[in-house]
Amino acid sequence: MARARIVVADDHANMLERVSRVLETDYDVVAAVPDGLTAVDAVDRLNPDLAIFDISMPGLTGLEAAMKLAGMGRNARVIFLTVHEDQEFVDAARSAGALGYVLKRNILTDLLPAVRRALTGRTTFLAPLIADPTPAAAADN
Amino acid sequence: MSKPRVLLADDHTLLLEAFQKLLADECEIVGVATNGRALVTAAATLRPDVIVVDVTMPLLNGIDAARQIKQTSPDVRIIFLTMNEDPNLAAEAFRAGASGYLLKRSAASELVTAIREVVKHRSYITPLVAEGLVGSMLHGLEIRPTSLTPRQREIVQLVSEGRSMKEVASILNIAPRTVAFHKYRIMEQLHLKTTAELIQYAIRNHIV
Repeated sequence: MARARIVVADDHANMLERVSRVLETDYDVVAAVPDGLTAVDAVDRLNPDLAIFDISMPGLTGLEAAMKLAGMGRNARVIFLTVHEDQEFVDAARSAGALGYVLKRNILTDLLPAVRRALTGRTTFLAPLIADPTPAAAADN
Repeated sequence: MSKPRVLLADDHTLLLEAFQKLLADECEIVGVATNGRALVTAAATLRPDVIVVDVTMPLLNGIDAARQIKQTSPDVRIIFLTMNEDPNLAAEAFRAGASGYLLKRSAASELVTAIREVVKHRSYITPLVAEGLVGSMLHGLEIRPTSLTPRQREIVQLVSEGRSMKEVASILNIAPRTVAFHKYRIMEQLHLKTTAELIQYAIRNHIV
């Protein structure tokens, strides 16, 4: 069976490389781009099975890129991979129609499951709602 | 034909920026607001053709803001955005004078279409909610008597947001004892015994 094709966007080259390495055992990374505008173009041209976007990028943010694609009528599946843990970002991601929200600090545990689920159209918001940022708080309870 | 003049209101600044970029080609964004009271002021000052507003906003929610705006500007087209899929909320929005109604999760793909439709004085409701709304209509819409006056609803919202009487008074430009009077009157009217129950009422009735 053909491997799923994925477009990745992140403005940090080493993050792009890291994500590609995590993905490439099971998937084809057909484009790895550094900003939102190129990301929109890449998804539009290449029609991947999934797009993984960083949120904070120059030009168009990942959120804006995802919304632009939706506005273009492109039903692209998008997962956000980001450092941002604020509820505001998570809400905005939902509004952008994201299928997944993964924190960069949990990339090794969370990315692949989110990708697998997104490819079958299932949503995975593994973010502040579940993650416990302060182990001390958990210990107090 | 010139671009429609659009005013955006949402308490999420991220979304506000994203919507601005999304609409830049199609519309003239004349202003933004991050709470309902600022929206009412901006609407009166800027006189937009279309207002795109989140239902849930601090100080004054989108639906109550729309009611106030419609009193002075009956012709403005108002499109609501929400995360809440309850068809009763949609019904309330249309009762308040909505021209359009979208869910946030599909707003990016439907917003331009919605604006184009309402500018032509047509209505637009997202297919994601339309079915539930039709169902409600067939089974008889839940008649929720708006037994509270607009001022009372304002007070319910501000109190439910955890603001002190003094703060509420300052925001509404009335005396603190008037706020207290309203609050206790409301609670008496609605048979609510505690502020917690008042907050629950506010949530159930989409005031916060």
